[in-house]
Amino acid sequence: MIDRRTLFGAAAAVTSAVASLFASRQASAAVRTKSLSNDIEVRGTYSEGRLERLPEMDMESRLEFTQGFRNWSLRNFGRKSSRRINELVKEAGFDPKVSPPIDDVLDVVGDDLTVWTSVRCKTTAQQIMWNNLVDGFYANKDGYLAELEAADNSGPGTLELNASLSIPDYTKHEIHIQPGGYIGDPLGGYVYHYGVNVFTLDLSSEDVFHRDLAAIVPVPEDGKMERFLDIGTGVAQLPMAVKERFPDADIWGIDVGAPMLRYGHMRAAEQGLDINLAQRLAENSGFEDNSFDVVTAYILFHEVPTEDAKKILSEVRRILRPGGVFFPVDFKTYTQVRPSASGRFNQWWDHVYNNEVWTEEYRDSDFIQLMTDAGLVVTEDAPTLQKRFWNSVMATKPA
Amino acid sequence: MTEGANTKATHRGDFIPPQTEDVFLNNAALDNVMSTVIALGSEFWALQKRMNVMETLLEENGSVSKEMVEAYRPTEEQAAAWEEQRDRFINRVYGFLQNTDPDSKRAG
Repeated sequence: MIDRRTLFGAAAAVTSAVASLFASRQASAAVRTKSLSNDIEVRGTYSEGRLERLPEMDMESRLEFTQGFRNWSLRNFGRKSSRRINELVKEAGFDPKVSPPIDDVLDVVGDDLTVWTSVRCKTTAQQIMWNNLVDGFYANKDGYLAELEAADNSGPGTLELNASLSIPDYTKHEIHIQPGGYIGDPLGGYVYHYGVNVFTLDLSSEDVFHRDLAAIVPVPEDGKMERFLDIGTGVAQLPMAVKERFPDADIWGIDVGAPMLRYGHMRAAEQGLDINLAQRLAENSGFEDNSFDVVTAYILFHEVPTEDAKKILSEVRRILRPGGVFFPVDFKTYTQVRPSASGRFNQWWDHVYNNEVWTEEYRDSDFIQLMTDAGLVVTEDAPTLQKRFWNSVMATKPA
Repeated sequence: MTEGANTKATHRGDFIPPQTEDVFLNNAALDNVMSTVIALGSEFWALQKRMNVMETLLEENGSVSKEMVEAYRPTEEQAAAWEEQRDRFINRVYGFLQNTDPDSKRAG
């Protein structure tokens, strides 16, 4: 039997020649979409030309099912399960609107069939999503690796990979139980991108959320926004969208995961977006002091232990110029909002069974205080796409 | 290549798998059967969708090929109708899983 490590190791041994770039252009009314010579667009792209259709209809259909099943698991069965948790907590003498400690919630839930069957459903939804994506992309792994290889040295924009980078252990986990995580699967960028679209229940999303987010990224009071950095940038959807908002700015994104950056660079190049992606650590970015007007971090900090978060915040302060803005978009911490019993249970599931390894530590931290301790001036009423859901904070570096 | 190395040849590094086994129903076999049943739903829907596309192509053209099926782009109306068909299928088939007596506890 071949395990995932063997599979990825074998796939990674494949290399291919780099051919000429930008052989053809693909028409798109919305964006400047290019095709690389090794581009795999068997079934074309979705309507705006920003996202390639999955390579086989069956793969796409399975993902559609997964999205529907996840939706049902969360909004139908999940609501029934949440009501059950809150009933059990109330019967045990607690106020379900403000969760007791998670150990107490788990004690009163006990072996309840409604709750655990629901948990089985949403866990399996994650598993079949990843299985389908890994199976589908690996059916043509040589083609995808060749596509990445061809894109690595293409432009516009740059890609800096660091083969000798010492990768911190905290980043090595298979977050969201994605096989290989963000660093271990050379096709992880593909797998992540289509998987996260299922997570957000928008299967053919063409960077819509990130474009909306880019539109509310705050700029410094003096209006100067010439250099921008997104830390923990993943597949670089946010810096791509920020480049569209600020086409003359020097746009950077850094991440520890080479598979994510390679995929992000390929997509940026296809869309003619001149952004710079680099495999660097957020806690040791290598940029000069006072060198960015705006730094963002989208859903990064709940994937980071508190001690490392402190290092990252210190680094952010160092590289921001005086008056520069830091915009960390993430979930609310428990100091910002106390969850209901069912909400607390679902966050515990996310931590243990969706392998969000550091999210409990993040939610238990006082992130606003951590930013203040790092020497940043915090604003708690920052722009947000959904105040009830996101942390809605930003900070500036004092002059 | 050495496992764990972040090499240019692979652009990948070592990773850490989840540490907690996902057994929720006190019986790994039962958990596995449930996952299999759910996974079969995704395979069924792939066949159903293929059938939908083939029927549409036959009505429109009188013939169908694998290439035509793969390249087919549903209209907005079709996409909405098929999404509704999918959700009805999920409710119809998996709604049974909600029929748990709140007072019954699993054995163990």
